Amino acid sequence: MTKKGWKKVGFYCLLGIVLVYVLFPFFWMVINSIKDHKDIMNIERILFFKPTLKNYLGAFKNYDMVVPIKNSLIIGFISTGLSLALGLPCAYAIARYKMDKLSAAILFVRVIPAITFLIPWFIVVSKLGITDTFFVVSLSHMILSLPFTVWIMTPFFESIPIELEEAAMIDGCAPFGRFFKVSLPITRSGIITVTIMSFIYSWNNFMYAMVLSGKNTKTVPIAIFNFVGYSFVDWGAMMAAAVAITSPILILSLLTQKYIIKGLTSGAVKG
Amino acid sequence: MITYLKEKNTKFYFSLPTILFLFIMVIFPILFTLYSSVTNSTLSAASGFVGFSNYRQLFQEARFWDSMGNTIYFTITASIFETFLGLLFAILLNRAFRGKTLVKTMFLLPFAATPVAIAMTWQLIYDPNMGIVNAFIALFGMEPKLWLASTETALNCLIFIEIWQGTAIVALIISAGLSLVPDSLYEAAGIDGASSWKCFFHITLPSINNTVFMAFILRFIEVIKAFDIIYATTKGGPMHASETLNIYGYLKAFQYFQFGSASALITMFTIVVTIIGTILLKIKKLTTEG
Repeated sequence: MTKKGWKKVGFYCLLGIVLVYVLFPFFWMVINSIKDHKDIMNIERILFFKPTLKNYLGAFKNYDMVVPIKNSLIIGFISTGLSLALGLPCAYAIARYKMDKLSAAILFVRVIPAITFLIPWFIVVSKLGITDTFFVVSLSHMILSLPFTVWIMTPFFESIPIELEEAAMIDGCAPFGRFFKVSLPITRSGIITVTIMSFIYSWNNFMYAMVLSGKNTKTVPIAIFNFVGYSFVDWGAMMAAAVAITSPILILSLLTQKYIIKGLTSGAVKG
Repeated sequence: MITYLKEKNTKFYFSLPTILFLFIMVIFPILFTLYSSVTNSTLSAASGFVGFSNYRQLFQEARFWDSMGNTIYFTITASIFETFLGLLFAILLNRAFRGKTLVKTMFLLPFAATPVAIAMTWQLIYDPNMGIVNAFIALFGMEPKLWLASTETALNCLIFIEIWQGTAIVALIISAGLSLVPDSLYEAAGIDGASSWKCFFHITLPSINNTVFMAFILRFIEVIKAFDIIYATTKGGPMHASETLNIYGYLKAFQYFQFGSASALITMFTIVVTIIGTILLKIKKLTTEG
């Protein structure tokens, strides 16, 4: 083989190692979700076993995963929707009127630990008797998604040429009209990015849900975590549940990967 | 004049909801936490002012300093490895090959996957009796270990999970930085007959070092606040061996319900994170401008 050929082989070997490293836990999750409990416990059958789907039936029958999925969807939609409703105009104002102090405050919220807010929230919400409500849990998830929305969207609005708005102004378009008709459509790709990522943040949130949600608003991470609470840990059903709650979010990110990569990398690159 | 007034109003109306949110959900809680850190508030008892005794007690606690040490070790080790491995992965991804987009998409999965679900999978991987790690090392005649269940290895096992998750994110960030390096630079070097190693050290690395540093900062600020995977697997155990400040603060507050003492710890933690975050961002600013 030529030197170039060897280089190619070396490259694909390295790439293979990297992919195994990145994907192994997902492979393992799926493999164990289709293993019988006896096979999971038996180290001899770690890779050779008879696949079964009964864990999936079990996860939904014995451990009720439907309600948490529904709850997570509701909370995800409310917190994402509110973050957009509040964050988009705010990002626009920061970009147009150079509100640097507000922008710094937003960055600060992204830096400080999430737990800082939790004790006061818990005390106040308990006093008001509104723990375990969709509104409170959604509001808590916004502590991540709202600053994120403002932070990602500000540069998008900054990049809109002011002439475009001036033209609209001359045509008699009021500020609100300019925002909705001129600015928002241009920043569509940014809006898609923050929408998807806000939803992912909410879907995955664990700490806030643990403290603020309860019987009625139990979200999917809590449902998974509760498997450990039983004296007998049904690993097969747990892995099936894990697959069931991660796959929607993984499929969503595969379909919208362009936007998520943008969300993850903007700010780091250039800035 | 009328338009001017209108513009003022826009600024006000557009930012007011978010500012209100920040007051209710951020500023008020921060002040409340500060206040409650100088009281002996618990779940049941009404709070009384105790001055700085919560802080004094905290500083005398070995467990507090252990969790501080764990946090520092966890954060520095994980974020350095993530940045280094992420850089290597990004360089590997930088050449053209078939299925490149697909591979990049795969790199998103560790970021997007629900941390609790991932934590449970790793618990199964590390399990002393039925986990694949022990099965794997047995092939080389090594003794099985307790991994997450041992005070000696728990923290490092968690660091490994954290690195696994963060590396992919860093790789994507650096990869985006690499794609911005203009091809003309390489073409010029190619004409001059520079080797690929030379190209790497003289063109690639200098063009992306800002991005690499920014990726490191972002990861550092994220990792120091790590919670989900640690709590879902070890809860800081065994014997507090993998307890970070974040975990200890959570346990103090919502397991022991010592709100006063927990607030003192969380205040310290927030100060540490804010100072380090500010310093890192300042360094970044200086190096970029200089």
